[in-house]
Amino acid sequence: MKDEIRKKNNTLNAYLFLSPALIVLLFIFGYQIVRLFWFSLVKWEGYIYTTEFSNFLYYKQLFTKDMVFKSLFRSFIIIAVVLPVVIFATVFIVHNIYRKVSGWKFYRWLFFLPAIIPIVVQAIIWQYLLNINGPLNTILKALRLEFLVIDWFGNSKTAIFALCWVIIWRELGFSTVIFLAELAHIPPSLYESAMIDGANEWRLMRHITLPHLSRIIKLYIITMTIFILNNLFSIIFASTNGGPGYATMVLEYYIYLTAFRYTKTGLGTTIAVLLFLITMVLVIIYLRASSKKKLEGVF
Amino acid sequence: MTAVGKSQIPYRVFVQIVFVLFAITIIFALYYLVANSIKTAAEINVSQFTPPKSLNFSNIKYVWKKADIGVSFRNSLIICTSGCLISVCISLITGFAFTFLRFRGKRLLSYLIVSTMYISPMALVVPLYLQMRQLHLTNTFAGIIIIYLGITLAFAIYLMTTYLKAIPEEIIEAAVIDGCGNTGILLRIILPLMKPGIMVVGVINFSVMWNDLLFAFIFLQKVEKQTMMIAITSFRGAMGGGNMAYIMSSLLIATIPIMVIYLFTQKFFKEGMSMGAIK
Repeated sequence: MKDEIRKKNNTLNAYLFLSPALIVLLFIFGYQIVRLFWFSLVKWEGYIYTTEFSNFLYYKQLFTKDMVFKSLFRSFIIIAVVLPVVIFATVFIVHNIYRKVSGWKFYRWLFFLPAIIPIVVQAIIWQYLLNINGPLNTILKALRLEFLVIDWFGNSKTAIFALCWVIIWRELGFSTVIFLAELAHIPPSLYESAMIDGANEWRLMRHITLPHLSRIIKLYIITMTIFILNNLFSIIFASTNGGPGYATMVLEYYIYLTAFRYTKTGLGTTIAVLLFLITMVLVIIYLRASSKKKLEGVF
Repeated sequence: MTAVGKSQIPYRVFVQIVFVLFAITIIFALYYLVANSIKTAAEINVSQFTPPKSLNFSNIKYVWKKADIGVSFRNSLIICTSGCLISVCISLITGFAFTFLRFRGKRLLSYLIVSTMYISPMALVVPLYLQMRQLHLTNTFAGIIIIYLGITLAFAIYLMTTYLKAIPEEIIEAAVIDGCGNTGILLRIILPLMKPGIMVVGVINFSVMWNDLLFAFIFLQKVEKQTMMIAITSFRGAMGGGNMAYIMSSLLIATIPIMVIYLFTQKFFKEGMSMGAIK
């Protein structure tokens, strides 16, 4: 009985400590997500919502809009380009930093730098660097590679790859730190004994480094997929605005345009529901993959 | 080591070539940013590659005064500093409860908190915008700070708990035996031990808030309230292909604070990595 009371008191006490965070998170996330679903079901007149049920009007509209699925597909193109490049490059970088190639300390410091430059600043700088008269094209001209002289962000065929490059360039900073922390668990003797057996560096990378990173790579693939689906607004807003044409229009940006520029708020929130649901599926996969023991929780 | 070294010279050369090429993109991008914000428009027209002839800060002075960059810089500093302080305090006490207190619903709650880290920001924007307008919190610092607290808390709590877990249980037990209450433990024992954790969480929160474009753009539409990221984007939009020196100066001003903060707190990040707190 006494024990029971103590437990209860403790729960109460703990929730006292938890309350500020819970109030903020419930207000910003919980309550707004409920409203999001509700907004997708009622009729809208411009920016003003009514309390009248729309009979799934916006859900029907959603499936007739080509742009929704085209822009979702574009996100997956970006994922298909960025993920393999970042993962292979990161494994290569961290293997060689961990194996202490000459200058590894400098490289470790330098490769992290792009991660701390504001993303908007990066997007704008790379627009200048890849401009038709910018430094990259000047160098290409000097090397007599005229056929490669392209307005990378301004050409509808290359814009999406220019965008991918900016994401990769920034992301390598983060992924290197994360993967290096995971590598720290490998005893260096493992490499030494493999080298006595005559293995070269490529084989060490393939048979020691890569298997040790497999857990983090799995988690990284899921988080990066979530990130690319949901967090490209600032890069696109500061660089291409979804253009040229619709070449870099991703779902997230299309929601912004629909809700705030085309004044179709009802449809905008409905597309947002779609994006939210896709993301939640990925989050559940992530949480399942990340908890080692079932009962442990995340913290 | 040495025995293998010789046969692997082609490999080493290959690694260096790849690393140097990637390093050049980073160094050149930074050089380009700094050099072109110091050069005059005439110098840039001649070449974008050459270093500036003289140290000339007139571009920076111009954008600071004339292009509202100064005002936005001040706004960003106020929002990010206060937001970051509140976020650190809240995440510290939340992390404390998760690490040292027993309560019901802990596991479920931890999942819910972590999942807010991944919720699509764009899904929140419309309902939040209407909410904030109802509460008359659009175009106010208080409004944007509440939003920033929401988006930074999950990761801050996650990071705080990993640091808090490193504190030995015996210290806490000894304090309990001495009759120390929860608040006493938090203030007198945990707080002094948590300096590295607090610094790392603080810097990350600050940079997330400093770098945000989406929420600032939707919720702070008045020029006198706008943040740095909005100022540089709209300045660039207004200048178009115009004076590049001015645009680069505005970008440089937006980058410096975050760089300085990182350089000063670097050692805390290194410690954190070695104890495996940052994953």
